[in-house]
Amino acid sequence: MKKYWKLILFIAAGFLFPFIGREGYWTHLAITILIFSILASSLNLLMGYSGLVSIAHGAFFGIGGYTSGVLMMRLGLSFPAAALTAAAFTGLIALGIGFPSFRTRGVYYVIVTIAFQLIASEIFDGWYSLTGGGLGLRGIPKPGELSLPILGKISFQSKFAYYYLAFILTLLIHLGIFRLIRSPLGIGLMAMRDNETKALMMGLNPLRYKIFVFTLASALAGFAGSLYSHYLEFAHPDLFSFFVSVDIFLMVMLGGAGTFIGPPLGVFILEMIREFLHEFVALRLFIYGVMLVVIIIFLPDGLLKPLINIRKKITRR
Amino acid sequence: MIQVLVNGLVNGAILAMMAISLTVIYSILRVPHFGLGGIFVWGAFTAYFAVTLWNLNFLTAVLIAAGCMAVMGVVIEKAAFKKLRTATEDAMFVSAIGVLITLENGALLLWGEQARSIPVPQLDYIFSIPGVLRLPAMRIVIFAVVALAILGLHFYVKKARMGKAMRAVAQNRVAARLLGVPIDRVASYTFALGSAMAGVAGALVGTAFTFTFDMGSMSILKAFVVVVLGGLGSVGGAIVGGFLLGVVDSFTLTFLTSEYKNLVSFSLLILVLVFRPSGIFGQRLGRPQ
Amino acid sequence: MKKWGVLWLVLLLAMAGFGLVLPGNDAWAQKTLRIGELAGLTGGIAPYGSQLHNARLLAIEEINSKGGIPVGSEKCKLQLVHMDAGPPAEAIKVFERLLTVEKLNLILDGAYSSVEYALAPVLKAKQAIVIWSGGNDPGTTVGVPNAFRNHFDGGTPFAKVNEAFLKKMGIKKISTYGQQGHSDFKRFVEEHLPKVPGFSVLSSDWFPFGEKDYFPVLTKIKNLKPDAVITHGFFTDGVPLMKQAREVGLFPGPLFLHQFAAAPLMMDEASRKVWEGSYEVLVSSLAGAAEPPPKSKKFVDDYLKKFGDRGLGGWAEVGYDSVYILAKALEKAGTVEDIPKIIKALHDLTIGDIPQLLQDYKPGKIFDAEGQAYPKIVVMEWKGGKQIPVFSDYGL
Repeated sequence: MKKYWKLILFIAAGFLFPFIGREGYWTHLAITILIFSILASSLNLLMGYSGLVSIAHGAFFGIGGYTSGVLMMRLGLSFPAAALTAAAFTGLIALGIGFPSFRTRGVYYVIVTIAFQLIASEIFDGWYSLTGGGLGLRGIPKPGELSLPILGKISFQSKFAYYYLAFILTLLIHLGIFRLIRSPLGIGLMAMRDNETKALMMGLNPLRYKIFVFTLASALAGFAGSLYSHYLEFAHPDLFSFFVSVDIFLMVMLGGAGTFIGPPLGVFILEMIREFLHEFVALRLFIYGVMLVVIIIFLPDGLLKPLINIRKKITRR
Repeated sequence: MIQVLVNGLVNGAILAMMAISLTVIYSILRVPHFGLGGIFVWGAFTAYFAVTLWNLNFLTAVLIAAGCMAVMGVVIEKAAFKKLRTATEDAMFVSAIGVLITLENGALLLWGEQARSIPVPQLDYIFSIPGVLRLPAMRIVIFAVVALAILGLHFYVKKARMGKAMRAVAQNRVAARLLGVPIDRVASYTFALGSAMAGVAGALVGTAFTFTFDMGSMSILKAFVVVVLGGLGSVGGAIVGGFLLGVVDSFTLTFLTSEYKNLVSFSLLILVLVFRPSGIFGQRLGRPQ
Repeated sequence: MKKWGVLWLVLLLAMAGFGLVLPGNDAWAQKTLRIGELAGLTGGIAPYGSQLHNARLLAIEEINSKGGIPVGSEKCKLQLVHMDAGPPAEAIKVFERLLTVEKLNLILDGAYSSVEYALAPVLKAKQAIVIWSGGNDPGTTVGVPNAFRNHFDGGTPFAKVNEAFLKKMGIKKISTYGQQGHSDFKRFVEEHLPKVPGFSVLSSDWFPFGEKDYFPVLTKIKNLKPDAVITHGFFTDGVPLMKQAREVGLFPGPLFLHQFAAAPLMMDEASRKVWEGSYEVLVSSLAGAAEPPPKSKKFVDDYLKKFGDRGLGGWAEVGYDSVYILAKALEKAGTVEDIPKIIKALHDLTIGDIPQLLQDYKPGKIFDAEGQAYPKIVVMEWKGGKQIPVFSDYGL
């Protein structure tokens, strides 16, 4: 138990946060950070643990978001049903695109993911009757009321309640990812990442692993998408574009690919950098570009490892 | 028909130029230099100022753009990539994105968001075969300049000492180092070369069309697709890939659909990669271990 | 050691992120009313957003120079608190910030149309009022009682004006070429136009924002020989489009009807020439015309004096009007805090109440039941680098 006191503290802080943030801006930010943590961590499964860089996460984020919205709006499904179906559907599409793409390696593979992202963006924009195209899909309902034993009826209309929904789901998903990494499957993925030929010789089937992790990561992204679009009550191609995919990639890199806490840390850091830069208006993006270069040059493995080293040095004293 | 083909070839030329600059840097140094999109933009601005502020003629302006961007390329290599030579490709990718954003927004801060065009009145006429083809003179110039640049590159890499050094580093960096090839110098020259070409592409686009501070990201993205399509490490592949994509796009836009142009071109790309996972001319390439 | 340095720097920034966001500088001076503004000043929307912003500053300066607006027993001066709003995700963030961190509840806006849809849910949940002064998407105020729009509705009213003009010019066969993502235009092209008896849509094509080469599609359109070509998007793409339409031999030829909201002063002289002989319809203001009516002329002169001669177009007057509309509503409601009262006052406003209005709104109440206003939509012809109004209608 002693080992976990930091984790417990962290989770407790997370639980108490909305009482400070209430319905305001900070809660909005927090919800966004939670949702993007799911994205970053699922991309990390691909990048950090399996060695597959993907710039298509925004597209899967979007497929989940739109699908869930449409399912709830047009077919009247409840939120859990819509979200899970959307995630499954996203995974299915990932499966479809996974098969051809895994013949390619390295940078070729990245380009295939980019190609898929651009195609998806085009479809979001073009399929007006389903997605509302450039106008966006509006009127996506928030989840319905939930009746819980002690707490009674909970409505998700408020940011307060939605935060808890996001918080709990994010924790659960991360728990799942954690268990996956420690499992034989996870070790197999890392073996494949480090040296595919050796892994083959040890009897693993890289293709199966790749397809599995790609489908899983994309399904998670789709699930995050549904959380997001139901929160905003709106979906739009710009929310799921190539640039968003790049952002998620940056979050993973800045936090530390291949580490567990790295990506969520990266999400937090990137959002804070954005907040910090907000004051600068015109200079904002310029400084952002410079910062990216500076940070990656000094910390090419992301922020997490140096942070851990510092902590070790402090505790050693 | 011919009009459509020619339309495609002209665009293909620009794509090929950008793809070559990317390939040169990637195959020799393994740097996915997205920042070239920013160089593309700055090349256009440099040529623009050469023509409007200093009243130089078009050809001189292009040369100045090439020269300035070459210098800028070297500076960027030292500042943003030198320390990352041993890092992962992903880390270099992050740096490249940072460079792209910095350059584009730097241009925005310095010169605003106005769309401009480099005025070259001498080239304002339109070459036309009635009923078959209408081609603005500038587009012919694009073609000519790109062809010249490709020839120049070919001879440089084949004959010049630095060119051979570059090829050595591309084939096997460790061995080249052991043999005494000065990696730092090669890196500088490589970046200079690639950046000069991207700068020229920018100047050409800025004259034939219009240019803005943010035109870099899409163009470098397309260039990347072309590089992969043609096969990494293959300049010939970049050229063929560039023209191919240009022509395919042109035919798609005119005869099929403009709304789902990406769907068509990229599906074809994916198809090509399924059958030839290393691109049309590429060699088998794994992630560097 | 260097690594540590950068690490600390980044962590510091993270903390600073918290610190710097706490609401700032200007204290709630007793007689100053802070009005929030979201206007896109960067990116593709910049040429349009900056007009709005500048015009609002002009209006506020005029009001303040007269001592401010009388609200209840005191006079209030106005101050614009501006935040840049780009595409939807960011706009939502900025909006939330304006509402909760800056604690502003009166907001003037005008950015990407889709942003208006995105902000609707946020708006509905809060006690705040927004007046949109830009964005063409249909029905953005529908279902949102605290949102108003004094820019024309780009849905049915706009479609009707387009239709009327084209009919008047005897057009039958139409090709369209619009910017991807502008679904208001998509609706027009795919749902409205085909249903009009007498029109046949030969082709509809799309270009991505920032497209350089229009030759392929223009070649296609040329071969189809339509009576009219309708375009739509940001005018910065319109300039190369027209230039290449001439190069490819498509124009002069069919009637070109543009929905770019372009105006002479938004571009340089060389660019103005490419439009010669074509028409612009995405305007409801006469500020860009060669001979604007007296009130608009005064506005144009004041604007140019204050902001220089670049960038003035059709959106400026909308911004100007939005300030006066809000000011009058506050005056009539007698409060700056009671939102429901202000909403009612806005609904009760008639054009007679506000002599300073520049746009020509339909007679009677300014806003309909959903909070939408109906300024007259104008079709301008480009002649000699200037714009001449040739047709106008409310689109009712």
